[in-house]
Amino acid sequence: MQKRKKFFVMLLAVLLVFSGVVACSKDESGKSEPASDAAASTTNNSATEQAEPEPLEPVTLKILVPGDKPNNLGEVLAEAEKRMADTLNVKLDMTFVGWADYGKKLQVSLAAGEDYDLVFDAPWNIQTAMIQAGYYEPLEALLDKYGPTIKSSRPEQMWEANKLFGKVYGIPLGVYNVSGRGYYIRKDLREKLGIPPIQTWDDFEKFLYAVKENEPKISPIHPGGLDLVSFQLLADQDTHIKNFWGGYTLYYKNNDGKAYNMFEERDPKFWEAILTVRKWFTDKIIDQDVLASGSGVEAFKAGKAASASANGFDLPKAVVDALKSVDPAAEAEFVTFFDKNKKMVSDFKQWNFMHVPVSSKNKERAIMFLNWANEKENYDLLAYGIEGKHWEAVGTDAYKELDELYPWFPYAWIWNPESNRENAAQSEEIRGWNLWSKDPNNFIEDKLTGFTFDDTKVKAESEQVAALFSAISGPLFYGTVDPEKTWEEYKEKAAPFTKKVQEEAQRQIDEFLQNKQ
Amino acid sequence: MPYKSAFTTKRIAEDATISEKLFHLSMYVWVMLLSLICVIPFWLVVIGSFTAEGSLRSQGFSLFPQEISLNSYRFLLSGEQVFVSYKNTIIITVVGTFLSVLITSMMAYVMANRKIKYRGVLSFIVYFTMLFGPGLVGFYILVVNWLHLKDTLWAIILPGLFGPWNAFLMVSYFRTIPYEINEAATIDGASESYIFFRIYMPISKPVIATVGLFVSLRYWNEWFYAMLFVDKEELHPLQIMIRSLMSNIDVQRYVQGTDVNIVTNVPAMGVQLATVCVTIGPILLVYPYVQKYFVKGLTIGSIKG
Amino acid sequence: MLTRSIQEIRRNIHLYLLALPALIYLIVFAYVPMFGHLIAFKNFRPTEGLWGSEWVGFKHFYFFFLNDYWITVTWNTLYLNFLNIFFGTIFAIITAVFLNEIRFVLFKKISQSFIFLPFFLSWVVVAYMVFALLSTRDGLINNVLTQLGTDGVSWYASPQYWPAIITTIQVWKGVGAGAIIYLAAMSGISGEYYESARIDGANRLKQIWFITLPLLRPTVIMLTLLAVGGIFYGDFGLIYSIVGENALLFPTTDVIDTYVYRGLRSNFSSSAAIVLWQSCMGLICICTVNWMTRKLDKDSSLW
Repeated sequence: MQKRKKFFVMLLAVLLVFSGVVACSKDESGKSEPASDAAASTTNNSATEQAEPEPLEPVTLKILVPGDKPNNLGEVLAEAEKRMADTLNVKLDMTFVGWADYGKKLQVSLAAGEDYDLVFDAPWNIQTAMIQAGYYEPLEALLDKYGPTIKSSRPEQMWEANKLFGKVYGIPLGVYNVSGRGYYIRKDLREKLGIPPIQTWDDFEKFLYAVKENEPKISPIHPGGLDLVSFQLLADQDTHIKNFWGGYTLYYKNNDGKAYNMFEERDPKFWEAILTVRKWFTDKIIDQDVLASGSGVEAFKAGKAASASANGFDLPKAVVDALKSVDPAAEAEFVTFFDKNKKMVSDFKQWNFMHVPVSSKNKERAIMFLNWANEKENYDLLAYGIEGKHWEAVGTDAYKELDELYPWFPYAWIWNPESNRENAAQSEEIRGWNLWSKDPNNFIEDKLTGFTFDDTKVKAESEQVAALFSAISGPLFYGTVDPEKTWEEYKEKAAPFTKKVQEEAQRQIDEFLQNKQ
Repeated sequence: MPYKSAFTTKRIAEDATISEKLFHLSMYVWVMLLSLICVIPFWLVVIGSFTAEGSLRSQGFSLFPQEISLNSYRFLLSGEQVFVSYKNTIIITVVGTFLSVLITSMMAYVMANRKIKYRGVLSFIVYFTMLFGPGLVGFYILVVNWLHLKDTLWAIILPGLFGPWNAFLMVSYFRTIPYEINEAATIDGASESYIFFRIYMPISKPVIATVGLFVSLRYWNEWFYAMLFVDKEELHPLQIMIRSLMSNIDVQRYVQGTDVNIVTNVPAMGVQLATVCVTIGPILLVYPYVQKYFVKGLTIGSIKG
Repeated sequence: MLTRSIQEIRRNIHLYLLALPALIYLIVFAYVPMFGHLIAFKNFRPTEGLWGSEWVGFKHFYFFFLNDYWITVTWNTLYLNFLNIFFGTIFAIITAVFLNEIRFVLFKKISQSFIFLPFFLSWVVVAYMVFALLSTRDGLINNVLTQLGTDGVSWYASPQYWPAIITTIQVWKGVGAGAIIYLAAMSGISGEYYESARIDGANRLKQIWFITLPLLRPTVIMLTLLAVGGIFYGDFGLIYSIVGENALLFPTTDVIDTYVYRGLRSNFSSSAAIVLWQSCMGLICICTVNWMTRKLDKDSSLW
């Protein structure tokens, strides 16, 4: 009794104080709101009158993108603003947030209603959840009205393929149709061991075993961060097996529009890949601390691994330089096992997107700006910097970096196939791979192109399997545990949830395919 | 003073026994070993930060530099942003530490004061906020939409200004100060604020120094609120600058399907190590001044102040 | 009753005024934003705002309890925290007492500073060091083991060692800060106690045992009580940096925070729900422990 009253009194005192605080802060917000209202309404007006030639009201667009603020950005943006002064009259306020924190910043600030006008997001980030919760504006109408160049600089197919839940929520940023995958290899070791250039997976295996036999101080392969099971399956051009959900727990293949359940129909290709990796691990081909020591590329750079799996069709100069700094005699080469002559199934999905949040106050102007930015001349400015200072053109579709660096980051806001230039410093071979990946004619359209699985109805089950999977995926895909036993344990826990998800997925797929016809 | 009585009855021989000598020895051995275990890794970090990335990668840590290079520092400290960030960090740390120690100690004094009937309630109010942090979204709305602190240094200083943990640490110290001092002062007609600022504060220097040290370290290393609430680079503290530099090195982990030259050759591991040194540098300068308050000889410590 | 309370406040108005800044601060920055926890019970949609979004009751809590893995992670969280509190306290006290006893001032100051140094190493750097010690191929410990003629241990594949490893790292990193707190507490002990003990002929061991340690008791109890409320929170920074995605070690190292981070990276509401659960459990724990403390030693309890 006594205590309760004590508490009540304290609470009362506290409330009194609090009411004072609220009064104060209300006062403040009261002052500022009309101003922003006015700003919003003027923008609306000016946007509807955009057909008229006179300059629009000045607007500052708030853009949120990941990464570190690039050197010389100020100079480039100043030039851009100068070019736009008589037409769009847009000022750019770009915020860069480090990659590690980007997802958190995006999620929290948008949830609190922060009025960013353009934000970066991606399927590998938090895009799906954000769209499901209604954070991003559907863009069709805006694009039709203000974004002709945005649309024309990307093929129709790319738009269709990158619809999410049936609508265009984001502008796809990208030019390739398959995620490039390959391996860095120590050329000097290969030559020392007398092995001819590696063409096939079998050659590769022979190389790895030869390293194991003759070079005890170095791990034959360190796939850290980029596991070999996914790598083998991604390059599969025969049955076209693809992960549908939960790291191949649900998969599809042969482009037949079915979501298979790995617990019910264990795919031979998948299992073969798992067994290979397991064998390599027990034979000490794979670095024994692969799960603990992070990036394989780092181990390769340190000269501690004779090969490493790597993203992209590329052997970056940075990797070669780092390797040389450890061992001047070392040489690196890049191999990949895709076959240019076989067509691959692709869903033409891109990896990066630009979105307009619903909380933006300048949606029209944001799209107008992007439209401007996707025009070739302006794209060149924003993507490569000031011509003659940061870069120079090599023909119409390539560029060369000059000494003063303006880092390349169109993938975060404007990247498109129409305006893109290849880096002239690439080797002939790597350029060949990139061009192959870029040309849609090398790919068969996936039946599920444009389909997004909406897991709202089976959210709990789906998260459950995701969490269970995360506890076995590493050991299983890097070969550090007995696959049969681990798989059985996983199956026992995850199978009931998976079944539910599979049924829901198949239902949505059937519906999607029916609507498509 | 219940502890005194234990000795009045038994008198023990004056000369040090063998066991005491052994104890003495083991005391020095323990402290020496622990110091070594703690200082060697730090030494490795310092040496590593001055080592060329190549040799750092292939040789790992070593006690003596193999191939000296300042590249890590050059990468970390290039550009004007460093100076701006250093300045911001110093402002945040100084202002934040001062205000935080002030309001925390005032609250702790009240929570420890026997005159206050509701000190239990106050303690609970404080402890509760330690258990239930503010929801992140709620906090963002408060700071940005209601208090309009976005893009100000206050948005970094104010969150966490009052530290419940520190408050309780002070409470436990204040409780050890004999209550008679307080009573005597009250009888002499001293006001509460006089008792606190003129009597309690001076004799509580050890705990104030300790709390001040912890608070300033927290502000010095603060990046999270800066990341959330400050978009303008000219207001970024040091840690957020370093953090985004670091994560950019790692960019390949996050971006897929991109073009070639986004990763420049930076000394990733060396930069991590240099970061430690850059961050700790100014603290090492201030530390001895703080240290003297809690490392003393046994003879000092009379409560009379 | 109300009048009595007003009386109490009026009588001590100057003291309550001293507490006022902190109280206002807590209300504005801690209690008001707590409405954000509502998100755990809602299907949050930004267009509808926090209030307007649909109520879904305890739906977001399902994730955690849907299979029995929550028992494993909860156990790991509690167990690792217990080890850390227990050994952390013991090591900090021993170190502080020894430092306090050392008469050679320069040695004392330098060693005290050294012991504090690990506190400044970021987790990423600590992770490098741990790897340099424990790596299978060229880790320092395995090198020593093989030279002694025994087989090396593949540490990163042996979960049974990890509670000890994690606790060692925590203690090593935290002992300096802990020692500072106890040193501060000791420097408040009146020299008179020691003096009279010396007159009574107590040697230094006895002085430590009968004077120093009993006087440190309130601080020990206070720090433990402070730690108890957070006992359901795992040390995410350490575990995520050092164990990371290495699932081989999950049986002993996966704590609630890392599990939720992996499973719910993009789901606001569910992660908020788990945080709420952790907090509530912490509240229950601290209330119980504080109640027990009150029974045993009234002056040391929190409230």
